[in-house]
Amino acid sequence: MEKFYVTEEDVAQILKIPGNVKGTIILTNLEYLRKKGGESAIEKLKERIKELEIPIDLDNVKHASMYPEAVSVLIVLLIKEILNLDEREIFEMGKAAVKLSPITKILTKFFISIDVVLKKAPEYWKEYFDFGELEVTDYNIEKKYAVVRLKGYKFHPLLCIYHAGYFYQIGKITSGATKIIIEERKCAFRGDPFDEFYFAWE
Amino acid sequence: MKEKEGEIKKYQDELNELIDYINDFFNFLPIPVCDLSSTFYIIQINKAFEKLTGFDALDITGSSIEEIFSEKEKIKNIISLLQKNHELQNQELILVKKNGEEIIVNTFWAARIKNEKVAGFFLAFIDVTPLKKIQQEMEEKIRLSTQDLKEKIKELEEFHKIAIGRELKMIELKEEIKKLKEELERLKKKT
Repeated sequence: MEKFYVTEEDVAQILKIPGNVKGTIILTNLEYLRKKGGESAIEKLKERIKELEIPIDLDNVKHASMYPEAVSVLIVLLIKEILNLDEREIFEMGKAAVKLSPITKILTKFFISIDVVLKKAPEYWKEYFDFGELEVTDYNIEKKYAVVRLKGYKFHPLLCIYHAGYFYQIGKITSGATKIIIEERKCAFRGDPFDEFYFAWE
Repeated sequence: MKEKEGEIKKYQDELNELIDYINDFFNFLPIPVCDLSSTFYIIQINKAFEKLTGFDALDITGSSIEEIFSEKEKIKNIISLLQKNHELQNQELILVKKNGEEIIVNTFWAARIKNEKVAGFFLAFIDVTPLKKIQQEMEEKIRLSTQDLKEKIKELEEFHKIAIGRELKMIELKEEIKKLKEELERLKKKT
């Protein structure tokens, strides 16, 4: 696997994209980095943030405060760079965001059942982001599938994999299923007007 | 607009405080505690859980609670009872730690109800393995002492039986001697 680096051009390009996210997403990704790479990996991330002049003070990020999503995305990319993660591990990091976030646990009203989580998905998205939309365009509880569409979100293709991991984990805890399938069937980076995920459980 | 932004900022600060408080309190608890989804998947664990079981949040969150207990039928029964009763206490189960070691835990379960629906469950447990070990040792000691006592009683009964038998024989012999003496006296008188 070719070594992945976040460049100054990546930073400049991504920072142009508007939209904010709750700090809890950044904090859970930091926790993932800490668990996988220890404190030295956190220090490495701080160094890279300074080098690339990314506007964030990692020591003062708060769960419920809002930060640019561009910064959050750049942190995901830097974690990939530092831990040398492949795509499967990016997917795992997306799953870990659900596992490690204290806000996920507070928002239990969404996790009563797969039915509730699908119905409330747009609301759930708005709990974290002040831009974009998450829609469930089709679902059938008996046939055990759902189609989830993410509109107005186009930062980096790796985030599609991260989101797939995130949706996978939410689906797993709410469906109670042992087998989960998630596929990105449409992607804004492949010329589609949005990202679309097909989700099925058994 | 500025006023609204200030209000939002105030709520965010309060929420941040609340999240920090919940996290600190959850991790302070000296007994293992975890949050379960309504489908009995592990959503959150505290530090005491990690310390006792050896699993960390990345290993175990998102797994079914059934996975950490070895008695599958018993746990299924608990799950079925919880769906009706919403609370269960003192349920002893065997927990399998990350390293494969089995420990006995006393579990406490309670449902979290939101809008009259089960939103999830809390599970807390206490490692009772050392207590169970002491209890087993005590039971073994009592069993051995009881066995010893039974043997002693048996010996005593046998001795008692022998002693009583001897006594009866003595009485019988004395009676015979008495009869013989009387016979002798009678014969003496005849001659």
